Amino acid sequence: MKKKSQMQFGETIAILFIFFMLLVVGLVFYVKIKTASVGQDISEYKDVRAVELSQTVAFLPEFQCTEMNVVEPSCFDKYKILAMQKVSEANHAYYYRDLGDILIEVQQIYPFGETIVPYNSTPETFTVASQAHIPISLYDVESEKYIFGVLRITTYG
Amino acid sequence: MSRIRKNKLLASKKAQEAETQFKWIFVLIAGAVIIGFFSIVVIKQKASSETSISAKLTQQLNTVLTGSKVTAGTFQEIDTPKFSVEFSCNDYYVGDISKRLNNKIVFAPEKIEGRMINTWTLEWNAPYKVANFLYITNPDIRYVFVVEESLKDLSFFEQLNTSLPVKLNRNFNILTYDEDPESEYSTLKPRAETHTRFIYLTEEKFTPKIPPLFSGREVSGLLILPIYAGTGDINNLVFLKNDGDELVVRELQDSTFTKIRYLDNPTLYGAIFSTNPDTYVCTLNKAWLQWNVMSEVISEKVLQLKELLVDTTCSKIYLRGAVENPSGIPGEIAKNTKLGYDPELNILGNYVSSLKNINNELQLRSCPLLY
Repeated sequence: MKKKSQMQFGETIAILFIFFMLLVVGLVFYVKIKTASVGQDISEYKDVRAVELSQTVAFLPEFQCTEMNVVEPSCFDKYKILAMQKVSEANHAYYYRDLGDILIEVQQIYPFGETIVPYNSTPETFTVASQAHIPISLYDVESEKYIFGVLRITTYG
Repeated sequence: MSRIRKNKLLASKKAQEAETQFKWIFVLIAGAVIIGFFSIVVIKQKASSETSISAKLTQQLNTVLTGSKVTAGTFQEIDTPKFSVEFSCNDYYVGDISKRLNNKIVFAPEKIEGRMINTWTLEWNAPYKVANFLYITNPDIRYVFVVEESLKDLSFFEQLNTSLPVKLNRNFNILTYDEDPESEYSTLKPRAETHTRFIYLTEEKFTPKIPPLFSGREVSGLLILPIYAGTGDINNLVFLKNDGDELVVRELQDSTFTKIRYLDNPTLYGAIFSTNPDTYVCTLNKAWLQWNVMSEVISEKVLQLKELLVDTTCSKIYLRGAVENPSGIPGEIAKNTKLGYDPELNILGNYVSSLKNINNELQLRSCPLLY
């Protein structure tokens, strides 16, 4: 009788052990999936952040061409960008709040010309850097001509 | 023999009873452990899922705010999951998750709840484009426009009423403030809104009575005094809060200012959409900061143009601006003193008209414009 009870008790313990083992295996599996999903979320967040940054930069009033306050779409004022080189340095903290660790470059493609850097906050060390290129027209008020250019935004992570 | 057998049977019965009791205790402990384990998992999972939803909503809202910020002149109705978002000057909160607004200039009520969010974006030009102002509300907030009885000239309010988005939840007929129980104002009925904001246009400060049917409901108010009859002071605002059956002054927590003034229409709309005077003043300060930085950009641009166009009619205009009015070249003052919002400040009006004149003249002479 005693032996039978001991055997029954042992069986119950074994069942519980297997049950908890399966539970642990299930949990490990769930955590792994969750970690992968978090990784995917982070990567998605970075992509969204890059798009938001490109949008923010492309529509900064500090860059846009205007004529009596009428904004020309996809047009950057060359002299405003040149001015921004100085202003963004003097007001680095202000721009850093919105833009963070990024590098903005405006490259003159045709006619070929210098590359202007209106904002530079490249960190000393970084693990990832992604780039976005946006074609723009750059207006030169001196020659009254439009230059074909590319707005290059490098985001550091 | 029978006695021994009897004793054995008794011992066996006792052992069985003890075993059954032990089994039940074991089952109870094991059951409690299993239930406890699953309860902890469920609670943790619930908390994690709520945080995750809040984080997702915050991120989506940020995308909406960024998108809205760049498309000036639009009113957007954005469907959302049921949510509650709280706005301050520098942050917004969805559940436990907060996100910085950074340099975004957002005028919003302290709390928005529901399944839809409305955004309205306007350019702020002073006189050059400084920023896009973003106004946030939702259909659960109703705006009621009321003029004070003695006010004769309604053109300002009519213009204000027509310039606001058509889809904004508001009354299109301007009511006249009248405490008579039979008046249109006193018999005004609430609709399905959760918050009603009364906007009064007046020449005198007064304490408005809340229409009786709104008693016990969430109500706030704003007095707009384009010209204050007592002192001739202009563009004053008084934020009001619910105090039972009337709306009383909601004082600024920040005691730096004793009064609040708007600068132009976009900043006035800001006061209509904001319910907290401190948040409103703080947001205006952010706008001022952006104006200072933008002024520096324009100033640097003008300096470069002056060097390029030396000894031309154009450079003379730039120079004349600088000689006749030391603040003629934008940003000169901004460089010396960083301006913040100040209710006594009327420098912006002079700036704007001076720069508009210079820009018009530059256009007439076919010179590169300031803006």
